[in-house]
Amino acid sequence: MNQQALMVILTISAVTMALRVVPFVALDVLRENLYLRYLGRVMPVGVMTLLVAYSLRETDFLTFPYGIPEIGIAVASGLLYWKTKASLLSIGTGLIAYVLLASFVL
Amino acid sequence: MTTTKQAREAVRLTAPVAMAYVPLGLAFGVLVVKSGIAWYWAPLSAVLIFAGSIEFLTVSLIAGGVPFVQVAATAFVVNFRHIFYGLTFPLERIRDRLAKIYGVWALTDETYAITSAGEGAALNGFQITVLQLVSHFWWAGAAFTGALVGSIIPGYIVGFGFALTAMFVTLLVDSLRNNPSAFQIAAALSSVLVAVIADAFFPNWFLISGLAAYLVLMTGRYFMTSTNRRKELV
Repeated sequence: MNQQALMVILTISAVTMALRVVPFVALDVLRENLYLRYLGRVMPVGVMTLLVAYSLRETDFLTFPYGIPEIGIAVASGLLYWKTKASLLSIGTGLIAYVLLASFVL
Repeated sequence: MTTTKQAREAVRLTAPVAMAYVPLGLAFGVLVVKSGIAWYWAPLSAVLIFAGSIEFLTVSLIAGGVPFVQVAATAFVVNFRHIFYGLTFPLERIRDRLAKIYGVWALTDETYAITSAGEGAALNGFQITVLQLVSHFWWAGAAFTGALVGSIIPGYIVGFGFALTAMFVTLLVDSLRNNPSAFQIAAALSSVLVAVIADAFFPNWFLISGLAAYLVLMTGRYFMTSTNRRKELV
């Protein structure tokens, strides 16, 4: 586990740093390339949708309670954030609601 | 302005960063411990990676034993946005070589946001370094504290993995505020379907197959659009 943890963290760290360095060495290419700018605009929706789905991939939707708590709380905290723009309020409320439900009800 | 005064000014500007980093860092630390990973990986990851959303993902990538190609590709796609931050980050203001390297290394969403508008736009190089160091400290310190807190939360309290969902939901909502096209939303949902199907045959390839599907769909749309209309395409 520790070796796996170290390798994963170093890999992600290296990729993240590389992405942060690129613009300083290839400033003009990035500024002028329309396709890369387009990707910068459109990637977030797809990436975030997939990440939400990924975080719920081990939920069992076929047996009781059919993933209703997960989906319900995710949608509710999403709406709360849409309305208030307060990310902490939304994440905090969602997490506490889910932990309480998972620990004491389900 | 004296150096101390300048530093104090920069520290003051980290207040909103602290408000965001401290609770999230605490949740991250708790999640690490509750996922069965040794506590010290929480602060280590916070120091070495210093990019919030991917670190939450790191937890499940470590616990799930995901192949490294996929870890690297996932980090690349999730953090792709960073490639655009450097375009306007005032790196030339930082004089010291080491501070410059650190400036790039610790260029997070929040540092970028603060230095690109409002009061933060007037910071000098020294102050930017202080701003980054203090923000880094908020994040790593909170992750460390969260890991300690996580160690004393009794075992029957479960469900902390939902922190990942709750956080990505807020990021999804943010991305939806930028008026995505119907095509984008349809492509995103289709790629979830691709990911679910791929995952059934090749466990652990959920993210990478979904991201590849989305990238292919969006790239297809770009090259199918006539050249003069690509500029505003979403």
